[in-house]
Amino acid sequence: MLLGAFRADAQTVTGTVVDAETGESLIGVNIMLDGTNIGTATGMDGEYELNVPDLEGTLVFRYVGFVTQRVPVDGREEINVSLEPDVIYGDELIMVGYGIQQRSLVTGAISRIESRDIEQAAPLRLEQALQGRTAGVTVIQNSGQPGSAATVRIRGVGTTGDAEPLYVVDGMPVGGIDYLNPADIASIEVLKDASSTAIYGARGANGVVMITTQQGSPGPIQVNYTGYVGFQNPWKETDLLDAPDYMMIMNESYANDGRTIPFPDMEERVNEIGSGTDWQEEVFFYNAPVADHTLRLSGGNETSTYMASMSYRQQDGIVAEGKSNFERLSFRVNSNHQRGRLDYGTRLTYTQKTTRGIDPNEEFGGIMARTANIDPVTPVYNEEGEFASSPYASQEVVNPVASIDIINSEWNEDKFVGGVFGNFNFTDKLSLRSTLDIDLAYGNSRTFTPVYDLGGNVFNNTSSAIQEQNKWITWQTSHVLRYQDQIADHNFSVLGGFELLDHRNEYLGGAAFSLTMESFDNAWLSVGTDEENQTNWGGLGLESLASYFGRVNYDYDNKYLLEGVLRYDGSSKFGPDNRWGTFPAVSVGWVISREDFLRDNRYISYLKLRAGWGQNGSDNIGQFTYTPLITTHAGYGFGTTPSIVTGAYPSQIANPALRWETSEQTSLGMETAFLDHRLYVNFDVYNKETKGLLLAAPIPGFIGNAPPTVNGGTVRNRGLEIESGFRQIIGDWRVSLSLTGTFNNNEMVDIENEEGRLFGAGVSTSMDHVAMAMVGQPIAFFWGYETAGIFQSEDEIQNYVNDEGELVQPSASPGDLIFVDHNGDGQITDEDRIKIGNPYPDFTMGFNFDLDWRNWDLNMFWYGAFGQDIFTGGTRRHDLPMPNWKEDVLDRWTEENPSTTHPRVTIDDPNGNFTRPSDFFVEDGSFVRLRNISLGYTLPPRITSLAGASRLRLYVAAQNLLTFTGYSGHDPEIGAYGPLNVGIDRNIYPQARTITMGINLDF
Amino acid sequence: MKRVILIIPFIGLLLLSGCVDDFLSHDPPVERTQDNFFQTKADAEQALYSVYEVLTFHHGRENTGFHPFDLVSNILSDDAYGGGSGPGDQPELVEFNDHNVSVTNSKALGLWSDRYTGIYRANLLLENIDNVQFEDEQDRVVMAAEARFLRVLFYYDLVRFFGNIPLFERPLVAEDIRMEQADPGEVYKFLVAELLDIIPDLRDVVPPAEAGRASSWAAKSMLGRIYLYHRDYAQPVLGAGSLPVTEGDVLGHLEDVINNSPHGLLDDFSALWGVDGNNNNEAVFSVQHGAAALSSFGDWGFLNGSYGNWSSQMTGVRGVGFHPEYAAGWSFQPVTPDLVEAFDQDADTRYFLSILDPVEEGLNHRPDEMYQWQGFAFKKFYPRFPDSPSVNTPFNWPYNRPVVRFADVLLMAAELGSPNAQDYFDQVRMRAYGDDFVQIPPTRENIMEERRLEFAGEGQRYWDLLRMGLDTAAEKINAQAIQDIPINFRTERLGLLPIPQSEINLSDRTLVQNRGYD
Repeated sequence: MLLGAFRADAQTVTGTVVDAETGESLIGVNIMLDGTNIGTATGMDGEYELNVPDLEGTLVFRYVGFVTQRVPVDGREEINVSLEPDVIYGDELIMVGYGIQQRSLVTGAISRIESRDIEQAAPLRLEQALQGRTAGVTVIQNSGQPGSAATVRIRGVGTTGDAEPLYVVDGMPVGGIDYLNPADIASIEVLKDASSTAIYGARGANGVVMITTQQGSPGPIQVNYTGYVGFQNPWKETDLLDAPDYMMIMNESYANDGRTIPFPDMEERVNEIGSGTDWQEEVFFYNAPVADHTLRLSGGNETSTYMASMSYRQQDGIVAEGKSNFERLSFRVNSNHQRGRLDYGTRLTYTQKTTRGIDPNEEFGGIMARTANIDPVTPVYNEEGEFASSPYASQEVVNPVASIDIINSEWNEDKFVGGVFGNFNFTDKLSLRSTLDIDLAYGNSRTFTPVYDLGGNVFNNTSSAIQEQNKWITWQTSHVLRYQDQIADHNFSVLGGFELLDHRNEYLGGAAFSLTMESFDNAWLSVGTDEENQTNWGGLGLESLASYFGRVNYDYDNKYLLEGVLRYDGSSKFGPDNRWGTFPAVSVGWVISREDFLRDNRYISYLKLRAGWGQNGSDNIGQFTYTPLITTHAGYGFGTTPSIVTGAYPSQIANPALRWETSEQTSLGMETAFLDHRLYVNFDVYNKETKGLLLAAPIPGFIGNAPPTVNGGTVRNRGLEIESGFRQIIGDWRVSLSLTGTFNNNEMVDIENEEGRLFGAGVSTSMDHVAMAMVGQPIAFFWGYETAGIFQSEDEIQNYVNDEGELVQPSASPGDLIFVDHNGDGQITDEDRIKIGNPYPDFTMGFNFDLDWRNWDLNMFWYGAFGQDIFTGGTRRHDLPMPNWKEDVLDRWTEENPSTTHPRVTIDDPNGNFTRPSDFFVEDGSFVRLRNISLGYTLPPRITSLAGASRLRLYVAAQNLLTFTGYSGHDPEIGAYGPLNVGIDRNIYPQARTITMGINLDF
Repeated sequence: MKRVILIIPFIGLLLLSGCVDDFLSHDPPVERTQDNFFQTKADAEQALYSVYEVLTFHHGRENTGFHPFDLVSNILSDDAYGGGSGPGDQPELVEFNDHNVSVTNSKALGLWSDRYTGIYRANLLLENIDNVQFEDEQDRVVMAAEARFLRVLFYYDLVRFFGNIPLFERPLVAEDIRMEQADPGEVYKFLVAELLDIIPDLRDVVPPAEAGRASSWAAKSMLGRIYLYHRDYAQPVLGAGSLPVTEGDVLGHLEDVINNSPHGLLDDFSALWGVDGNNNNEAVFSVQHGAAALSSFGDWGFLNGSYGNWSSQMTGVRGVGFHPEYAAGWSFQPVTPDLVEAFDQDADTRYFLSILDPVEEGLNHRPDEMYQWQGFAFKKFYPRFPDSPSVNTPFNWPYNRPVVRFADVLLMAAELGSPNAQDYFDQVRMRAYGDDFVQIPPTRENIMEERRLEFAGEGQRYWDLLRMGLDTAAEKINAQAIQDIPINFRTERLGLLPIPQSEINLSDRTLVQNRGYD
């Protein structure tokens, strides 16, 4: 029997655990015999009883919010303990890649948030909990649509490819974390610098977010219920013109062009319709409900613990009632078991998710775009009670309420993520941990398009149904051998491992037309009748990754720290000769506060310096990019009775030399704590350069095929991060504050083609490449014309000439924008375009405030982002004659009102005021939000115990209660829709202001 | 025992690492690679079809979109303005009309890159076709000749639009960024030599199921087209050298088409148009859009992937509502009053078939929403309601675009001084005027005027204007300038578009900008 050392002749230690400050007994304190898995938890009155093999060793008392205490047993059978409230920086353990470390000995830059922070943030998505609470992590909500993703950037944007960090849940890399129930999370660690991420080598370049789920602890069954219900509303309505102002501006526009005015009968109309239709009121879903319920059971004994939870969330969106919502049902079972030298466990989750959504940021046909553009003169319904169609609408700008009616699509996902791990301790010093994880997801989408004609060019003659099924299956197995030892004051540990990951994605879909039954419920492929047009598609994607890695940690007397990491990764995305990449990192630390001269300092309780250097890789490109794939496309036909033929051609020029993208980072950090750890301040500075960027830089069109993906660029991020906090207890008052701040500077250092630039997203029909990457500029900056005010007179136009006396803007009239001729050639062309804005903030900050008084608790969390710009050119269809305007048009230039901010209104627009992407369309997107505020009351135990409960807390909370911003659009948080498509407002689906009421109930 | 247990994982690890390279090697499951392509006749056919497909590309590599050859040519000429919904709707098309094309005009870049895409695909096939296994050697000969024919079409468009272009006959690789522009005379020489070379290889009879593939008649007709353009424009304006063919030979080939090809003039001009007119007997070579009727394609991110005739979508007027005959569109290339007046509206049956007058036909439309609208639209490829694609309408209008048709062959032969010039000229005009026909002599002036009417809206006029000399072109084009539509055709630009600025930049400034644009 290998599993030997279990002894039956146990002894018992008992005692009580109390709060050192208040003397109150503490419930649920975790007590472990150090170095074993023997443990228990305190019960209702803070008492515990623990069976131990003998009365030796050390007991470790852990409790969230208190300092962990280690008490040698020394033969005692009764040990009573008073726990000090957490001093924030103690001997807590934090997760690092493939292991755990004592925080004070960590040499990398790692931010951590815990379940308590997550509970307070009550995030709809887990990424939101990171926003502002972790320095160096920029989180931008992509839209207010339920289930919508967030843009997460760790230490800036390091690539022109996919810049999302790697998410690792309980050791398993997963594609996204929206399947997780935030209430199941125990902690999130964000690994920011190369020394901490190098162990994830291949995929660590964008940073790593490590998520650990809740575990059970030994003791009687604990039942915990949390739930809330709430309602959501738009936090603001954009100031759009009402009918009288709209008609006035339209008449003026047409008159300015010498055309017939469209509303000669304006006054009669005003009498008839008053201020007209407020379309925002029509498309917003006021008091949209949200509800969330989580039930958790946990417990166990000395050898087995478990945690089981189930949760349900339902959320409606604030736009397009019934067509934009999110539903998630999830189950989780985590268990840990121990037998002798072997401990093992499982993590199993199942999630079912249903999402219905609208396009959240689309300038042509988006619901919010139609709302912002349609005229306020048209009513929602005509006299027959049908959706009215606007006589002034053209192209995609049609009745938005009618548009909501024709949207019918749904995404269903079933996801199972499960893993088993086993850890075998050969000796106290040597162990092997093996894991096998599976991530299996089925996603089904279904769309029904009815026959409709909404006016403009928005019509559809044939009903259709599209069905697609996706299966993603990823498995990973890793095997890690560890050795740790101590010789005098020399502590060291060595780790070596091996990992395989395999991912495949099968898809199958089809489209059917002319349905026999025209409704969403019946919109399945079999319902189609038009067999000629019925199409189907299907295929398979394959990716594999193999890795070897090792890590050495050494410290002398917990004072001088050294860590070295080496990872060797192979990815199937590269050709056979360039498959493998090596990613090293080293880091050092010096815990100065352990030196004699600081050891008993009255003020400084902790001081550590650390420095690290390392390299990471990225293989964020498509599969088989290194080889010249032959694409087939049927786009032509022959014959007097035509039949379709299929053509085949290489999809891009191949580059067999394609290699890993490498990110190299140097990081310096200082961690300090003062006044008995009541105050802490941490600083980090970093310089991160990504070299060999995987990109497809333009090549001359005459070469005749799409450019190859090459390792062709360098981007640099430099930044400073601050995390600080303060905590004080005064009588019944307990206050804690924390403040994080992040400065980041991003610059494209090199793009290896002859132009040194990459073209990004355009806006509307006339503004090409508003977003760009260019050497010397930040990634995805706004590229456009600089304006120098507005021509106030014909003289000014005549005086704006080039060297030869030719007019620079011959088509201009007074009231038009003056464009700066940067290259001085006397013409306004693309060559005059410069950087007119940066979509990423210079500085972000988070401020958290907790105040407890007796049974009351108050939490406030503010988040601010400063210095980012928003490009607004997509919020109005300037290419069309009669879309509505925002109210700032009322300050347009006229002869009577020589405005210097807004050009004259015109439909023909010969000067291109509204078709050239210029700084007229750039607004400061800085904002400060009261992201979260909550007020809770915990009922006294004597009352709750009557119901058999140990804790009952009631609270009210609000999200986005206050927003301070100068931005004129729906919402200043826009997010990234592609690496070179960031911060462009195309009428964003705004964030909701949510009020919730909830309870936390423990038995 | 313990030691054994310790060893197992290590052995496992070593075993695994032996297989790791296998583990990381995948063959693409859905796509072929260049290494296992070009093996069978089917492979070669697919490669050839991908060259044909480029004939329908109107949107550029960057998908900036909307520059069909015929539409751009019409807008450049004195027959049409730019149009659209307003000045913000494709302003770069309006630049063509103003002859104020900026060097960064993305439509010019699109015209350029689409044609080089076709050339790349043709070159790739021609480089590999010798390795393909054919059962019938004749297939190899015919397919290679068709690829070369298409390459001639692409180069001819390029040299017409841009004048000074890189010329090469192999598939380029990413390193080939510094290609120099060829002398325009070399390009014309190449085009003519290629056509002469492939005429014997191409088929004289294309089976009905393959209608739309290049025949020897198509090559002969294109020889006439290119010869005339060289004679009247490239030689005098660009100073191009002489061609390896005599005028007599060219005329001989055209007479051969007239006398010996299966093609002929249809009796009824109206039978040329609409879905029923696709691949009619008069079509010597057409871009095939007919398969669009079978298509549901509609990807806005890959406009070049479509089958349909985008000119149709772009020509339709706005605000049609329901109409049994006509559909709506985007109101580009509104017709100039000058062209309308050029027709003898009472006698010429082509007027009603070439020009749509919505007022006359009682068609609802919204002049206020149509930029530069003068009351008339082109009609030959006008989107017809009964032909409406069932889905993704703009992508799938099924009207073929003639590249060269029999009437053109007749007029070219007449222009080249055929002994039957009067007869050929009369044939075209008799069909047009019917009972009102009055014979006029086939003078150059008369032929050019007839070409304008016969081919109205087919994208020929601009090139014919340039054949009449830069001064004539300037006079006729600039005469279309009216209030708010400035037009400034500058003879110093030789009627050429600018070399796209990004091409100059990306070629490490190897390419040189055209005259008048630097």
